Amino acid sequence: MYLLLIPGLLYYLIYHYWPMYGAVIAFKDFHIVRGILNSPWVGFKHFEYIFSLDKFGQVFRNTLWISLLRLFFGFPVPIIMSILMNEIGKKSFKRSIQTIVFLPHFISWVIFGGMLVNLLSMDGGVVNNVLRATVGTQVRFLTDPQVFRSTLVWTMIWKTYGFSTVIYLAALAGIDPQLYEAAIIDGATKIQRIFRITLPMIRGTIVVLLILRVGNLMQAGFEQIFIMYHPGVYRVADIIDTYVYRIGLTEGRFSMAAAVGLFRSVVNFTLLVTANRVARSFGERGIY
Amino acid sequence: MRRTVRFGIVALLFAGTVLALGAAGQPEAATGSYPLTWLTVGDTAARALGDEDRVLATIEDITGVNLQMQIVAEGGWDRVNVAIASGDLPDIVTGQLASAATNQWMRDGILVPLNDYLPQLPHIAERLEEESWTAVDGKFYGYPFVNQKSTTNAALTTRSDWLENVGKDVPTTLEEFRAVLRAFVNDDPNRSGRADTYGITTQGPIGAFNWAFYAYGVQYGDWALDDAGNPIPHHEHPGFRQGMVFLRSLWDEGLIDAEFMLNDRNLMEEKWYQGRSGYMTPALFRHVSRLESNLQAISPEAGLVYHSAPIGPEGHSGHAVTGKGGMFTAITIGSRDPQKAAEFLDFFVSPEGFDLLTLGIEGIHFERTADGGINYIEEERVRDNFAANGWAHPLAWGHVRWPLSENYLPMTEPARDRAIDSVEVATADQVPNLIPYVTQAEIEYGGVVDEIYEELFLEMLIGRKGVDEGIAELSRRWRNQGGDRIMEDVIQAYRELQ
Amino acid sequence: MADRNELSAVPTFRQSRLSRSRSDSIFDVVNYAFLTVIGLVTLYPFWEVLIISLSPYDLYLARTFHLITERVDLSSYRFIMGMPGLWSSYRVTLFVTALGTALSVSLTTLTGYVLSKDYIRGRRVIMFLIVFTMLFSGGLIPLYIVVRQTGLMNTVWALMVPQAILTFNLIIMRNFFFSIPDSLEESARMDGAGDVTVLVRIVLPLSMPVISTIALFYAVQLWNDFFNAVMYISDRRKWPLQLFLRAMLFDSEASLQSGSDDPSLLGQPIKMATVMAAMIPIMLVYPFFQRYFVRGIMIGAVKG
Repeated sequence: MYLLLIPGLLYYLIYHYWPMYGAVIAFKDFHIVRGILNSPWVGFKHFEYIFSLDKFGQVFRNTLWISLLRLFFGFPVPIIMSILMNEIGKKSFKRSIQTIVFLPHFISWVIFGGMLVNLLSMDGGVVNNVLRATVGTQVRFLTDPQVFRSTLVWTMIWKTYGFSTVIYLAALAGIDPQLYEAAIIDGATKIQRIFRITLPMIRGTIVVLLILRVGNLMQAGFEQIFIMYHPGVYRVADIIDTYVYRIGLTEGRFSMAAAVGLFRSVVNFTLLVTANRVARSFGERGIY
Repeated sequence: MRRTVRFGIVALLFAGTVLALGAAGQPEAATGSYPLTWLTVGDTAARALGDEDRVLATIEDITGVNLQMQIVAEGGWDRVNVAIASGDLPDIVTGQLASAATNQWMRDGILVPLNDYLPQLPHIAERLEEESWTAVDGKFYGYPFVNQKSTTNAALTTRSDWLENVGKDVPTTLEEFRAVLRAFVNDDPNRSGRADTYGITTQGPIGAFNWAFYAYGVQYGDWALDDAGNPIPHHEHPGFRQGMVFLRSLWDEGLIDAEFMLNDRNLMEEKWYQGRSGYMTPALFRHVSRLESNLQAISPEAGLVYHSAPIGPEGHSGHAVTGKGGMFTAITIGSRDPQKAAEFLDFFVSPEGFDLLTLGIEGIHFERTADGGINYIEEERVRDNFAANGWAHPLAWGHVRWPLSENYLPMTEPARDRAIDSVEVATADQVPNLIPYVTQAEIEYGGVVDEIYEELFLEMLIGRKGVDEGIAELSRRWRNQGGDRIMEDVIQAYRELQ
Repeated sequence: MADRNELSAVPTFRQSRLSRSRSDSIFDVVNYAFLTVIGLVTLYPFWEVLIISLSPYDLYLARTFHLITERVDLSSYRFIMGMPGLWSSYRVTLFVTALGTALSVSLTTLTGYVLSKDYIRGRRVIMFLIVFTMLFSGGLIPLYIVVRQTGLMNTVWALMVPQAILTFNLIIMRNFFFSIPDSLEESARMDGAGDVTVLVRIVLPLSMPVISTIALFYAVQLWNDFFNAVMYISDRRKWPLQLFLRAMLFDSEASLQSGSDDPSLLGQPIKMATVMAAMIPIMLVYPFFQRYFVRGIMIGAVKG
């Protein structure tokens, strides 16, 4: 048994723990010729610089806020979708819808972002044309700071819900059909079956994905935001990753980039450990 | 199921083999000539180099090296930086001119100073004399290429059919320009019967509206001078305020595309083709014929019109900023024979090297005609990976030059004369810089302060902040987030230049 | 996963058969309708990409909303097929995806399986150390050095080995293994089966839904990856498909300035055709994976 563990552990040792020493670069002034380990220590200098930037507070708050919105609205969607899809009896319909939900995963944010501009724009965008014809008003989805975050969150859900849906589908496929048969004999309606059998059976998967998501709150979706935002909405949409990227702290400034990364990791780590502990205290297995 | 297992076992074996091979290391290629590696971002749109490339073979013959190009995809400067920072040093590296990374390479002693070799490097020496500011403590660490230093291809561009439809001439002054924009919005230039047009669209806020500031007397592309003749940032010059008020009035009248900040180059061009906006700010030069034929695909009567920047009340005008950035090609301490590498680079930047990469080998890839023209032999050129229609070899661009700066256009280029003319018109409006290079403090803090500028510029433009209030805030935040340090450097550099 | 004992007590439901079937059919109608709408909305981006890729450029330019095209034009696809280097990049990607998926799935399954067993000593510590790597890393430089020192630089292995296990997938996998009742294994062991036999004969067949899901994730990940190629592959002939297409087609300083063919200037239909060209082959494998999570494997049936 322990032998089977060796390849995996070797992988983690070589490609994760061996390079780990590089993290100390955040506390050093990196000197190329001397290398990471022999560069001079500078303590928290890089962290102090980052925290001294007058936009740092704002981008930190935006990061957390956008992440929380994504969590709150985005997390339940794949659960609901996978359960609804699971209740479909017709094989062909089930297969098609399962294929379709995964399709947006193949379209990169660059392409998807371009489509969104076309769809949501004020001049000629379909959504606004429909709104104008029906409600009589238009919404500046992409330029109004009041609505931009909602646009971000819902388009993110649109594009990515299918990915987690597939995970839940796998979990659903593992449920013993005898449970359902028994429930049907007992006269349970579909809705009752969903709440009494399906949900409890995939609770473990839900908890695991939730912990992982909480432990990832400092990542608010760099790629999407980088494609979709612009200076007019920086106030509400600029996150740590985009800001640091834009001001060029990552361009060859390895110590600075490492300091930002480390800060983010520590926050994520704290969240993840807390979430895991909470889950375990409720009798779940957690992720470790 | 068995298959899965067999797969697994095979995969594990592979992993083991790979690790074992890794320990053994890779064998060196054994050839007579000096193996020279060059790490560069290059021209990503170019074709891959072939194995039996005759142009490459000729270069290798002349310079006595066996060239191994390491071309990084995606404009991946990060990758170049990581490789150098990891101590994976090529003989030659091309980095970004005046960037934090190249600065560090020089400071940390990664690059070999060229000074001792300069007598043998006539072409490099010539360039270094022009760009003497690249020396650090008297030492030259590489070959600088400044992009758009003396030419530019950016100019205000509109369409002839709209001008005719609204009965306006090509505008020359700021007020005429405003009148044309107004007519483009109010006088139904596309004959649709609806108010569905904007006057101007553009791409990205930084720099896109600089013509307004230059028209009101901001003097230089990079900085301005106050009445006492001291350098100040653009936004502290009175011309900036006037320009901002002017732009704001255009915005308030609905003349500027309300969603221009969402544009990328494609979308901006599409809005123009589709008649959603009358003006745009594209890259011209060799794009002239492409832009015009796309426009005519929708509006056959239309023609592309580019013109000089509008002139302000006191006769000032300007459009494009003169470039300060570019590429920096240097020899690293990883080179076993820096002299050989430097001589190779010297050939590469020489006119002979340039001809070889653009024209090819005479008699094989091209012939000279009796009247001094060039006859391209496409079937031979394609064998050596030249791009089609007289364009160049994969190694030609993106290392030490770009076509615009060389003013390079093949003889076969359609609309060649207009392409060249567009550059002349655009370049006439190119605004000179006060300081011809990027100072150290700008490399350090430039990102942060540009950011503040960009944000406040947009807030003032779209009316979220008053112009005076916005300028005051911009000035304060700009200076205390690094702007003061930048100005110290700039003022000192300015004094030295005088 | 929930403790299985609590599920043996399936709640009892008292309801007339009539109301049940009515409530169920209302549910079904709403469900079908809802999923159809959602399905169409989800399909839309893909549909638009497809339509634009089939549109001639002048038709594309003339409109802003692309639901259908009047003229189907394959010239964008023809253009892509004619790009020198395309087929070799397909080969690289196929090789990397096939072998990389096999490698990753094997490693992930083995590691996840062992770490799901309560009798493995130190498993929580190991798992914690693994999760730790998901959050903390040494950064690009040391990883680059390690990749170089393990001899992977500029080889296709660099596209598979450094990412061989994605911890996210490992956690999903391990979590699924929890749901396999220990009793199954124990009875097999009593029949004299060893660790490997138990894994191959009992655990893997029961785990096909999760294995196929994880395999799908790895395959898609490997297929779409370009970052590793940017970092570790400098020889253009070893560029995978995604990198090749991106380098050829996306806006960059180079495409504005360079003198080469410069397809990015040929417009959106070609760009969209590259998206399709990159997507179709990997989409074709989807049904193979899908088989397993549609049908599911009946743990109960095996148990009985």
